[in-house]
Amino acid sequence: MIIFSEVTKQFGDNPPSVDRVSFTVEEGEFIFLTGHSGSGKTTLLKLLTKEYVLSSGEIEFDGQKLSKLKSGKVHHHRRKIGVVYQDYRLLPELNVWENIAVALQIIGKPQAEIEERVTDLLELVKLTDKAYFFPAELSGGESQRVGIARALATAPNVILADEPTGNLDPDNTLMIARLFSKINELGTTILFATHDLSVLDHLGHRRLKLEKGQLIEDKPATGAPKEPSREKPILDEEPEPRKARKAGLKLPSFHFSLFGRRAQPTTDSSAESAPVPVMTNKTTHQPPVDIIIEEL
Amino acid sequence: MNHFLTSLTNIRRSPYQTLAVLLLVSITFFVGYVFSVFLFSAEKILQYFETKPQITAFYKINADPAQVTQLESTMKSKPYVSGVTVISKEKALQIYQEDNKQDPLLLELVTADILPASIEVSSRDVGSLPQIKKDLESSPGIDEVVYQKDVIEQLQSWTHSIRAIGIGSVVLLGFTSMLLIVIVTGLKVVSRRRTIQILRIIGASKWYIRAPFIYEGMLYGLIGSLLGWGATYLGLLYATPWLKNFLGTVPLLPFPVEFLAVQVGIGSLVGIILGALASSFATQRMMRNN
Repeated sequence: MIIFSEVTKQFGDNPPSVDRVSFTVEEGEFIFLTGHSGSGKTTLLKLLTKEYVLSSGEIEFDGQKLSKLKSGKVHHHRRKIGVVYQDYRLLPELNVWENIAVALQIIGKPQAEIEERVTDLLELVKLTDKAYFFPAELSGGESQRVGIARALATAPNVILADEPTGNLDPDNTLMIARLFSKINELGTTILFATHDLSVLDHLGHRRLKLEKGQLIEDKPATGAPKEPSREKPILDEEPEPRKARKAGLKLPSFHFSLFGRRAQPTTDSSAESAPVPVMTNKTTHQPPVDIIIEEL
Repeated sequence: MNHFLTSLTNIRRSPYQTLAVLLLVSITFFVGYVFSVFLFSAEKILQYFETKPQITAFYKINADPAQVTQLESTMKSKPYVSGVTVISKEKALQIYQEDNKQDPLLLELVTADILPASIEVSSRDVGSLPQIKKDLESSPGIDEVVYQKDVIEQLQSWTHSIRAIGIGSVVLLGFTSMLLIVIVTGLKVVSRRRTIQILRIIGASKWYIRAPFIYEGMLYGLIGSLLGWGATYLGLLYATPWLKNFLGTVPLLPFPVEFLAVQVGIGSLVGIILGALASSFATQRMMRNN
């Protein structure tokens, strides 16, 4: 899904921030990017969102070489990626609801769909009662949950999390980490940059360690369950997301699944014009969003 | 619609910047509209004079009344003359008294004896005016011939000068207005830099970011133009009685509705384009950097 080939980024005459880094990210994988401050984690993520231009090498995203991506098409590329930052990067002049809705407005979703999705996302991150609060009125954990909801809003294929727990206390850190883990279990690829040992110890996903811009370790996953434990149904009767993607189907937006609704898979690859999947059987399933939050 | 509402919000959040821009843009358009009114009027006055070719000859104070009568009949017989009117000394005094009825002192000092009689000769076409002038100048008892062609040429010369001044002023003020819109939009862009960066990262297109700023610039241009036109129109209404008195028989006022509609239409279009260009220019550089 994502292939980094000899990726190098150098600013001026300084030593390269990222130096000939090569690795592959499979669809649905959860990868920790670790390393000290200045090791190149953020630069690597910014290269993937095309905030930075490669000095050399190549990044391939869903078969698209980023060096060939025209500047006028960058926003289409970015819409496939959800980004979560350590400093939340919420828009201070917008309230919680609007901060989530803006991601959907940007891609031209109709108002009715925006309202439905934002309501569901607020429920997911347990901030329904703070929908009209402004970022300045939220705690760090709440702000980060809004950031995650915004990243999830457009049902991206990949989520990049740049030190998302860096400003949080241990309890919130654990909650956010588990939320990411659950999101990953539903089929979304996650690149999680962190140097927080508590997160790394708790979740045994694949780890890439960077040092002075170079990839020095690629440690495979160590036994943490990749699939959701089925003690409580999260996607019962749903097509298994990864299998669906591998079968070439457009994956029903995972947050629809999170919201306990059955979506019709479609082969339409147009992200912008894709119709809202038909929702059925809304009342027969316990909304999995509650299960996730309960587990958290 | 969303972008338009966003631009209205931006305007509401910076009232003083908005006021400064609107003031300057309105002044620019006010000057533009005033000059366009002037040029339209000058054109109409010129047309009036050109379609009513006329020469006025003043007799000497001591001219013999027989000479007056003789010249009147001579001119009436000319094929290129369409009309002859003689203003006698008495008639001239009546006109003088009518013009100066507010000033009794002047009325007391002037009698018919010191006023010259005159003859107004209208031509069938402008080309015959030089011949009529020649006829009048060669007639006995004539002191001075006022040739309308001179008046028209002078009026044309003034019109050309004022047109040049008007265009120069409007271009200069237009450039200043554009610069001010660029500066204000640029300031707003800088103040929202972080927001713009976040929007870009979550997939906003360049147009999504730029549209509210461009709409805002267009609004400045449109509102400025309408305010300028409103001020011009009010000024015109206020000055109409005086202008009517000043212009006398020249049928200029009231201005035709078509002229006013075309004026405000073109002005508003120019305002919208000016605002769009200025704000587009201001946001372009920022977009390159993000």
